[in-house]
Order: sequence, then structure tokens, then C-alpha cells
Amino acid sequence: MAEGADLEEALRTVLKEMDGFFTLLVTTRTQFAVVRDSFACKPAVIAETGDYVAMASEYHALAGLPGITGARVFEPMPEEIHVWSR
Amino acid sequence: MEPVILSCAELSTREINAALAALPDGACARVLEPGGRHNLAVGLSNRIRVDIEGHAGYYIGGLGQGPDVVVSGFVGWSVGENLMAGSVRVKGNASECAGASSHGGTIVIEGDASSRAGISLKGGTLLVAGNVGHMGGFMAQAGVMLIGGDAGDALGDSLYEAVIYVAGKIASLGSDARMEELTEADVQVVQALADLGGFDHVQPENVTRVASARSLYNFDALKDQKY
Repeated sequence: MAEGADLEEALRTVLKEMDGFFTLLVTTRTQFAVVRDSFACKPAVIAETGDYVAMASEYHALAGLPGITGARVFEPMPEEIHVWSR
Repeated sequence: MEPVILSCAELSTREINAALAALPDGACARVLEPGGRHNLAVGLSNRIRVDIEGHAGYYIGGLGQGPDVVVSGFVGWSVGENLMAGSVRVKGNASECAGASSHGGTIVIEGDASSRAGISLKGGTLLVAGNVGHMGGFMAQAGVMLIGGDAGDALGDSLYEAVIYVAGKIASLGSDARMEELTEADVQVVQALADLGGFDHVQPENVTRVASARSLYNFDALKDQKY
């Protein structure tokens, strides 16, 4: 990113370069991104509402969030890059 | 008989499972406010019905040999893992490894199931109304899977004798998995499975049968002369 790539491009490079199992949550001052390796062995759950995006390794950790019952809760797919900006 | 009410807000997982195990055959229980709690209704051998009313965590209904467990929400990893008999029905989506290693009984996912659904299935029945993620049926040894939607990549990788039926599209097959011709017997099996799951969107004569090509059954020491 120091060389001008945006967060999504940078994470695409990570997918190409990194070996092994990983689930990454990367934040910048204004962005929030999640990416998993091609096997997606490490757990990850995302909850998305109009007010916030939250990520945890399991739903139990998100269960107490306000508005969670109306949230879109999903698991990111392997090698899928999710980026949110504010 | 009035259902027994057990609240996760008040009781530990151990207390809930002990209370469920103490119920007589034919009893019903409602488990309230699960809030993603793991290990609910595991290791039960009585013929009871358990309604988990909300989203639940890992291993729901695992190791069961008798009860019928219904979850009105989604579940985490390994729902119904090592199920021996009875059933687990999930009205929402299931996370990874649904029905892992189950030996018997029926696991029904009314929504989608994530990756590795039916991994190492050993005789159980796994029915998914929606889609499954990658590596469905990985190393499944016996039993049957019906996928009412689409299957992700590497379906049936390293399959043994389990059979997978897919009503939708298959992103790709795993090593040693192959599509096989659908016989009349298969159509009857799929009809029975669809009825069991309550899947009226599955047309039994239009599913794809995936089974092992059995080319990995014997280790070939001279293969490609690389060893």
C-alpha cells in the first residue's frame, strides 16, 4: 500500500504471496477488510447492519451487539475479499 | 405433556444437557435464548424432542442417539457431528462441517451449509435445502448427501462409498469424485430424501449423482515414477 495499491489490491497480493491457513482482518483509518485463505479453515463470521460491520470467529461473540437480530450474518467465502469504507 | 423450558440465560450448558438427558422418552423441551451457545443437546440417547429457539453455536445435537433436535436459527460448526441416530433440523443456515463424521440419523439444513458439509460422513444422512460451500462430502465413507441447491468447489474430494446428489450446479469436483448416471433406484432414493427433508423444490429425476471413481483406493507406488 506504501507503493500506491488500495486495500483490496494489497489483499489480492496477500492471497497470492501468503501460504498456509489464515483469516485476516485488516483496518486502515477509514476501511475495514476481511480475507480468508483458499481452504478457509479458520472460523470467521461477519454481521452487517446499516450502522456497523462486525467480525468475530463465532456468532457467540456477536450475539450481544445491538440490532444483531436484524443483521445480515454470513461467513466470508474463501479467497473473497470484503472491504467496507466509511 | 407440557414442554420443559430451559433458558441459556440462566443455566450453564452442562446444566441444560443434564436436564435434557434426564427427560423420559416422548418428552419435549424448549431451549431459550441460546445466543450462539455451543454444545447444546449433545450426547443424548433418549427419544425426546428439543427445540432450540434461536441461533446456536458449535456441535449442536452432536453424538446424539435418539433425540430429534430442531434449531430455529442458524448454527455454527459441526452441527450433528458424530450423530448416531435421531435427527437434527436447522431452520437457518449451518456453518462448516455440518454432519461431520455422522454414523446414522438425519441432519437437515433448511438454508445453506458452509464448507466441508458432510466431511467424513460414516453412514449418516445429510440433507441441505440450499447451497453448500467448498469441499462438501470430503472423504465421506458411507451414507448419503442431498444438496438441494448448488455445490461449491472440490465436491466429494477423496470420496469413499458415500453418494452425493446435487439438484443445482456443481462448481467443481474434487479428486477422485465423478458424476455417474442416475438410475431409477437413485431417483427413488432422492425422492425419499427430499420427502424426509421436506424439500419440494428438488426434482429427483434431475439431480446429479456424484460418487467415487475409486482411483485412489489403491496406492500405486510406481505412479509417475516419482517416489
